[in-house]
Amino acid sequence: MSNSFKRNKKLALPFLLPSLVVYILFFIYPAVSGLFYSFFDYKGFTRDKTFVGISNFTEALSDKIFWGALLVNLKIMFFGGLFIFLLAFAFLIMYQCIAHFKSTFRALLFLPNIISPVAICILWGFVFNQNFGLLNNLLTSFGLEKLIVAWLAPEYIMVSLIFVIVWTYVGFYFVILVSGVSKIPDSVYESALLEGASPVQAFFKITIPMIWDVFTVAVVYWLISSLKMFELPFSFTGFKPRMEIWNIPIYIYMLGFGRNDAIYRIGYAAAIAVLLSIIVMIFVQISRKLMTRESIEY
Amino acid sequence: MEYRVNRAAKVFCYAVFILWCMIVILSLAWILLTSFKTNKELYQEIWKLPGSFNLDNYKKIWSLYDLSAFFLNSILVVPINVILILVLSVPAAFVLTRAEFRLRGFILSFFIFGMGIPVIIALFPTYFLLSDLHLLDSLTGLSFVYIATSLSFSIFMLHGFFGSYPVELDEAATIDGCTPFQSFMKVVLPLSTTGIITVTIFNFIGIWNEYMLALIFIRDETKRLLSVGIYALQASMQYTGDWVTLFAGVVLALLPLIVFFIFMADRIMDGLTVGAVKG
Repeated sequence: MSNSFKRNKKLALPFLLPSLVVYILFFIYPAVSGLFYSFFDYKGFTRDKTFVGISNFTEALSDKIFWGALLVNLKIMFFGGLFIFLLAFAFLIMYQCIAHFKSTFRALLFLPNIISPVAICILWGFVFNQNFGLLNNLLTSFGLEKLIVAWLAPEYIMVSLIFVIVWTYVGFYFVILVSGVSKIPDSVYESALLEGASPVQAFFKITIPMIWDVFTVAVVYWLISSLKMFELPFSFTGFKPRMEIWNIPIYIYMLGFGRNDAIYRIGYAAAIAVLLSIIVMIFVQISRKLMTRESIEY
Repeated sequence: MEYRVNRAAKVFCYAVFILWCMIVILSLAWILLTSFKTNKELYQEIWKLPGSFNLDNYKKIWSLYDLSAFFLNSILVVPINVILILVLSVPAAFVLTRAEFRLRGFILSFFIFGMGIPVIIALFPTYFLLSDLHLLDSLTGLSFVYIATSLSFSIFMLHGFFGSYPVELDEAATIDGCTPFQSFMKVVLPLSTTGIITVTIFNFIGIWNEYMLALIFIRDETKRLLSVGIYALQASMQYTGDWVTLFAGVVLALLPLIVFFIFMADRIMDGLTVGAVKG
């Protein structure tokens, strides 16, 4: 370590203290309290509580809605992630084959990420509408009437939701992967291509191993954000999310704040939130274990 | 770097990108065009151009649906939040990356660990905490929550940027007689504009679009943020059916971000490049 790093030690306390205070008071402290809440039963939206041990957790494990919501989470995580990364890698290969308008393409692919989820849901709601939606209109004009379905009906709604999620987020992961590739020296590719490697070979032999670290970060980021995803599924079917697309965060919201039902089961909702946090950590650890490789120096 | 591929393959690649980009542009254009339509036009010819470009929907949403108030709330609250996040996270990330002290690694992990905690676990305790502090139904209280929950990601990103400069930089500043604080202000900050801009943009987009916390912690309608205003409008559409007005609202909510994006796109992309690779 350099001397200047030691000199910077003086700054540590004043530079860290303000953010630590805000972070602990308004995030860590409530999050840890949430853990405590999960062992209590709350009578409505008040602080009267009775200790119930792990009964909130055992109740969750036999709660059909909980398992249904968990399944929605896992479907979004797995299928959404699969298609996002397949598409992002396909875009990446194609991106390396072209020379012009690269930054324009990259920016436009990223653009849906800045649009508010509510706007995205309103837009796609009109695309998927059974009667006058664009998709069924298009299918009709191509003579594919037999493919017309009610895209937002219970059987198809997960497919539609995952499609919208992929459309929205693929650009973000594409840009991350591009950023990994931009760090690979051209000479590495040139020597491989001189030796007669095809783009596909170069992709598997050079690109993938060289951007593995970036890919791992992207996968972990996707796991975390897909399991926590709230806004997009919440407004996908208008102002009240339909039960087929309730994921765990939506179910927690409904338990605590779902105003029409006035359930207000805070302790139980907190237990489910704890379970969600555990699931997030398990997936992050598994993916880290599976994806850790010796890093490649170049 | 480009692969040398044959013409047909090149054309195919361009075609795919152009098609995808067209879909993105057309979806935004459709939202914009619909906002000028009447409801009758929307239902009769949903994919056609509006008959005339009248601004009635905008006038209506601005005054009748009170979107002007929500817009002003967001325009005020979001930038203040973003600046405060920078004021807290930039110095913290700096010492966590470029200083040597006990617990450095632990505190860094402690911050980054927060990225894995779903905010929803803190929802109910935060509700009671804000009520104890008399900060429920207050934009100040909501801001504290936004800032606290944004610190992990911001520090994580900035850590990547600060780690990418050579050590010699600090040493040169030291030799020139700068105190640590001076070298932070005069050397590190000016060099970190890309990172700071990236973090700014991500936080701006995130907080501008966030509505779960804003929905729960703000009940007073005059204090609503734009994101919640749009969500509430969407909710009321099932009674009023006044979709074109909603689209005008959506355009107003998108406009600042799109303008921001058009000017900043390259910097966002470059920022992601540095941050992601180090992270």
